[in-house]
Parts: sequence; structure tokens; C-alpha cells
Amino acid sequence: MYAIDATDITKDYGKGEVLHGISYQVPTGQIAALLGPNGAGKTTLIEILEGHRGRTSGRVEVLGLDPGNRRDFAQLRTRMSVVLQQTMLEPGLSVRDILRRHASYYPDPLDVDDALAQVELTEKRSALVKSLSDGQRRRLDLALALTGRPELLFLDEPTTGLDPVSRRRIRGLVAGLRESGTTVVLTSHDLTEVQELADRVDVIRDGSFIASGSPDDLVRGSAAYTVVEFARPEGTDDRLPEGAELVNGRVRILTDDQDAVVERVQAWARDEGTRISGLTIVPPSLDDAYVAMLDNGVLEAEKSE
Amino acid sequence: MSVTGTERARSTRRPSSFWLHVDGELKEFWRSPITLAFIVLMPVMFYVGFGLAFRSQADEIRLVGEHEVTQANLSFGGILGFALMSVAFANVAIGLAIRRHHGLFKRFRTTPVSPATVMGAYLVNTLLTAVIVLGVVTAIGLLGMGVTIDPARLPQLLAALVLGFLCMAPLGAAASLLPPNADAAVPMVNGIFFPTAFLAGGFVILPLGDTVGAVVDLLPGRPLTLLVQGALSESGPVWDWSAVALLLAWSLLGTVAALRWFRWASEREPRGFGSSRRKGEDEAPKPEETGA
Repeated sequence: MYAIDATDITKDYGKGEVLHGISYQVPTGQIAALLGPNGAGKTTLIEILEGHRGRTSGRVEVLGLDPGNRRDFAQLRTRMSVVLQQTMLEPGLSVRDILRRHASYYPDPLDVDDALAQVELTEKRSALVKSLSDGQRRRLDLALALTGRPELLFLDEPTTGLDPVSRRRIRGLVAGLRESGTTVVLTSHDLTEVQELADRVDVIRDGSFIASGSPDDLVRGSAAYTVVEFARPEGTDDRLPEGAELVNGRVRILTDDQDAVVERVQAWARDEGTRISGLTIVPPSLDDAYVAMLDNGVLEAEKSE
Repeated sequence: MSVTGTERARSTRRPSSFWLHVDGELKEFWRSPITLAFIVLMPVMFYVGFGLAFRSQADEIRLVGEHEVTQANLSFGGILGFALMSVAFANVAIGLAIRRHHGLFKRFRTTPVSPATVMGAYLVNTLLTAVIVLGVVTAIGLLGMGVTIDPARLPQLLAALVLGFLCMAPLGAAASLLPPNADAAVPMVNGIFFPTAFLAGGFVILPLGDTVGAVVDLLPGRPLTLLVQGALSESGPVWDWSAVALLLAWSLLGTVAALRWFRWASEREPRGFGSSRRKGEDEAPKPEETGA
């Protein structure tokens, strides 16, 4: 069962296609991340799914409705919410005023106090928006999005510019949405956040998807390496294990077979009559995998030219 | 589907989106020191300044078109037109431009709230503000500036002000489309508002040449000022029909421009609640056509 089921979408603004017949599915109740560099077509795709931009061709179903159809779009707006990256909230209104007004748009909204409790803003109920911190405003954004009890939530850069504590809080809230069965489409440049939250990730580049899967699948399938590092043993002069390099006084080896490297390093230490200390093994992250994917894309494009 | 008594009671207790928007607009306006200073206090300060400057000539008769009007009433009529332009034109143009470029409208567009609710509430707040500002100016005029209003011409005065509002508010909505970003809103709108307001001749009759004078006569500030000052005169025709026609023409022009090019977000597309989407919808094959 898909919350979003889109097939063969193209979009042409008149200066050539920006989406080239792509298909995109998000299973109900999952957190799906959509990644891609600026200008890749991410925003266009999201706005087509939200119903705020027309598609040139293709079929789109969001919660079983066509966002390109006027009547479906009206119904869809009562069942989904969008948290935009940076939008104004009236500074002279209180948190309660804004939530109360927002709740009035929906047939069965969350109680204002319940919405505030969900985002841990109860104590700011009567505060004016202009007195809130960035993190508190972002939580208010989320409270507004939750007020209509959405089945589907589009989240654009939910933690950009926030301090670590606020980021962690917001991530906790988003993770909690999955437990309540809400489908979330997340766009973010913070790949640690994506790796932590997303059930699936789709990477778009130049209007086409170049990778899809769970964060672990993408990392495993990428050309990113595990980094094995240890302190340079004294008395080994310039002698290093095969494939190693010195980086900031530490010996570093990039590998896709960490067990073999560790065995090789142990054997090298025995031969050198020394001990290995400060050994760290850092598996590739989604961030590494993403950069490797985009780098490969550049290389492939250069090769094809 | 049946609705329980509790649910019905709960839904009937909920205030409508429209009134919550009006409430929000009122609070936002009256809690902002900047809007209070520029939209409410500025016309009052101008009036006090001009009124005191011409206090000694308050009873002298001036000729405005075919109307004889006292200096006190001339200044009062000028400031009424200025205040109306400030609230209904400059305030609307700046307010809408800032809301658009800061993404407030974009946020509304993602919700089920209707554009009529958002814009209607904004206009109600503008109307209430205009009533309050004009009321304060009138009170100052009557109590301290020697203004006299002929009760027989009061309906004409009110009609002129209503007509002015119906002209200036759509022009303000149309002018809100001009600034390319929020920072440009205040200088660009005031760049239109102040010259229009001063050239309208509400405070002093400027010695304009024939050509400039003819152009100024066609701008909306001049007919508004003429109508208001005419309603405050002690002689001359009750209605200046050419001024009425000109204001109605500007009102129509403003309304058409505001509706035709109105957009909810900074960027050109999407425009309106899915207007460009509907264009895309036309282009997209229907599910039955694709066999899906």
C-alpha cells in the first residue's frame, strides 16, 4: 500500500525537461527521504506531489488522489501537511492564536494543548512568536503540521540552522510520527539525520533517480570505503602497511574489506615488532555513500562526453 | 455518517477560520510598532503639523475647482485623502508584499484555508484600521482645528471615502506585485505613495504646469481629494461625476490587475491556489487515457 505512487512523471518548464519520466513510490507509514544536489529536480517533484505545481505528463496518486485534479487537491489538503523550510509566522501573534487559527481549517483537528504537548511547547502557549527561539519556532511549525492529523507529511529541511539539542528534539518528534502511522517525506541536506530517520532513501540527480533503497542498502552498494586508522607506531620510520597513507600523524587505510585489512595490519605489526594502538574502524556513512554516488555520476558523465 | 451531540456541540463552538484570521490580522497590526507609527500615527502627525501651521488662516476661503472651502476644511480634506491612501494603498501594498515574500501566503497555500478567507480578513482589518484612523483625524479636526462639516453633505463625504477605499485597496493589492523582494516593498511602495499623495493637492495647491497638472488630474489621488474637499465645501456641486468616474476606473483597473497577476509565493510559479497546476493538469494525460 503506497501513500505516494507516481509513475513516469515528466516536467518541462519550456526550456527542456527537468524531470525525465521518473517513478516514485512511498509505502504507507514509512519515512522516505528524497536527496539530491541543488537543481536536481527535488523541489519540482515534491511540489508536483503536493499539488502546487503541474506535471507535463505522468500519473500521480497521493493518498489515492490525484493532486493535479482540482477536487482531489482540495480533499488532499485536509489529509496532508507541509512543513516548508523557511516561512514567516506572524511575530505579533501568540503560539495559541496561530495554532487555534490553523486548527480551524480542518474537520477534526488536534486540540491546541495536545499539539503543543506533542512538540513540548506547552509552556510557550501564551508567548508571542517573536519571543521564540529558532528551535521553538521549528517545533511550532511541526505542531501546525500535526494539527490537522495528517496521514502524509512533507518535511523540508526540518533541522537546518538549529543547535544540536533542538535538532535532536525535532528528530525525536519525527521518529515518533512513524510510530503513529504517519507517512513522512523528508528532504534534508543533513545526511546523519536522514540515516537516523529514513526507512528508504531516493537520490535524484539531473531529473532522474540514481539510487533508491534503505540507508544501509545505499551505503553497502556505494563506492564509499570503511576507514581503518591507528596511531603511527614509533620506530617504523616511513614503513607503512600496504595501501596505507599518513594523515595527521595517523596511519589510514581505506577499504571495502575491513577484516582483511585488520589481519594485514596485525601481521605488519608482528613483522615490525611493534604494537598497534588507537585503532579505529569507521564504516562508511550515508554521507560518504551520497558523495561517492554523486562523484561517480560526475565521472560517468565526463566519461560519456 | 451520524454526528453525535457532543461532536456537533464541539463543532458549533469552534470559531470560523474567517474570524480567527480577522483576529490575527488585528493583533498583528496593532501589536506592531512600525505599522502603528507609519500607518496610524503618520497621518495624525501630518495633520497636527499642517493644522497648526495654517491655524491662523483656518477661516479663510480657498477655491478648489468649483468649490469654496475654508482653509481648515481644505487641510482636513487633504489629510483624510492622505490617511485613506496610507491605510488602503500603502499599507495593503507593503503588507501583502511582505507576506508574499516572507512565505506567509505560501504557508496558507499548503492548508485547506480558502484565498477568500485570507484576503477577506486582511481587507476587513484594513477597513477597520481606516475607520479608526479617519475617526481620529476627524475628532482632531472637529475639536481642535476649526473644521466644520455640513450635515447635509455628510453622506457625500462618507460616500467619497468609501469610494476612495474601494479604489485604493485594489490598487494596493496590485502594487504589492511590484517589489521583487520584501526589502524593496517599503521604498518602492512609498516611492509611489508619497508623490501621488502630495501631488493630489490635499495640503497645498502646487503650481504645476499644464502637462504635469493634466497627468496629476488623472492619477487616483487627485479625484479622491477633490471629492472629499467638495464634500467639505460650503458651495459648489454635490458630486463631481468626472472624479467619481475616474476613481471607479482606477478601482476597476486595480481589481483586474490584482486578480490577473496575483500570486501567493515569491516565485512566478506556482501562482494562485493551483492555477499553474491546473495548466499542468490540462497537459497531463488523464488516467483513463493512459490506461492506468
